[in-house]
Amino acid sequence: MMHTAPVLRLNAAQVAQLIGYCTTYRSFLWRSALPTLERNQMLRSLQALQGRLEKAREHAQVGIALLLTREEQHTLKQLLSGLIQMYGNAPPSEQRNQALGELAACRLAIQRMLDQMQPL
Amino acid sequence: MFCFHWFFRRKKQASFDPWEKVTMTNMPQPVQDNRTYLEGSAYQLPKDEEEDVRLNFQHHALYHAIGNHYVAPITPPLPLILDVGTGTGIWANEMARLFPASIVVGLDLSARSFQRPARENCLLRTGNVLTGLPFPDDFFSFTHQRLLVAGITAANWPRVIHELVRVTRLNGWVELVEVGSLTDGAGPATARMQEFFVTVSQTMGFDGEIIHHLGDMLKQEGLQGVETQPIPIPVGHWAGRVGQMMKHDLLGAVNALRGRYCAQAGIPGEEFDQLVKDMAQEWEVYRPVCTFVAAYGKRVSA
Repeated sequence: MMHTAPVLRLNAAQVAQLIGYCTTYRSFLWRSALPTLERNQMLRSLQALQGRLEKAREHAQVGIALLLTREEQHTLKQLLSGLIQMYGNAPPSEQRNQALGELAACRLAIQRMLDQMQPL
Repeated sequence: MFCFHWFFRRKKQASFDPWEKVTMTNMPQPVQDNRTYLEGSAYQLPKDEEEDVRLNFQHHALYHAIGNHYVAPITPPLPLILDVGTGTGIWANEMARLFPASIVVGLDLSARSFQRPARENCLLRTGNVLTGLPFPDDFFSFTHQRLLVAGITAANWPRVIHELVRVTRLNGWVELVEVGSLTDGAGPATARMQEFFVTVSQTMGFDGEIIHHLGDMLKQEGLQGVETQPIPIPVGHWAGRVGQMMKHDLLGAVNALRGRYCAQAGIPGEEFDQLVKDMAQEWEVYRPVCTFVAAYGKRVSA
């Protein structure tokens, strides 16, 4: 039986962008949410995803190919939708609009990659 | 002789409010409690069973408040992990459980508080970061140090950070976690206690403000991807289980500093105790947060 799993192919700039997103969203959760089991689980999932991105970056100068587990896919989607909510609730500004634009582009690109199931 | 001097000075200053303005023109007094301290060390907290219980409780409180035992985005393989100022060794033992393929070394000035590690991949050893860590350069994948702001004087922080970075290997992480102000926006009693702690600790060479510069110091030592992450933690029963745990821990920490700080400032313990009671009450009214600061970075060049 052939198993399939989505592969995230990212260039160096995209890796840096996702690492930055992880840091920003973790910071937001610590700042804005009281400690709960759910918040802490999300924090740990984000930390683990960020750790994988950091580790992959060590070994690749140009880009990386990351095989994602189902949990990591879920974390990635939650990260991006959480950040969209965060910036969406911020007061209007040029910086906010730019961040939202970048997030939307990143979300679209990642969704396409996740949709393309790669044979293992 | 010394005791007489203290007695008469206190009698003459009966109407003086020592909390109004703590100055170090007061002579430091002998510690008036039955706690055990580390001799010949700048470490201000006691080193006894009562403190060991508090440290272990604090470990669990911080886990629930922060969400994990570490903040840096580490990922296996991590062959060697170091915990400086390990105390009872609870953090090292827990990390040994989380990372069974790693060897976790917990280091402390004294073995007095060490609890027998439950994991064979956890080693507890004595050593002093101030005189140099007993490890070679580029050795650990993750070097961790937590809550030593009451043990490292301001002048020694750069040397400590240099040592932590020195023993960390290429692509390894260094993480520091410290507590900032006692509680932000907590009310008059807490503000008073905070001012007392700042004033007294400064006379002993400590500087709580240094925690806001930990990230800069890591950068100066060449670490990259340095993040300084404030982590506000609610304090009080109003904030549920974590708030209760943090309140219990913070009051325990304040009481643990009572002996040395009151002695240093020449403050009667009874007045200190009353202020602690007032603080505990106002935390339920003002609903404050205590902000911890985590600073971490990655070593990317030798």
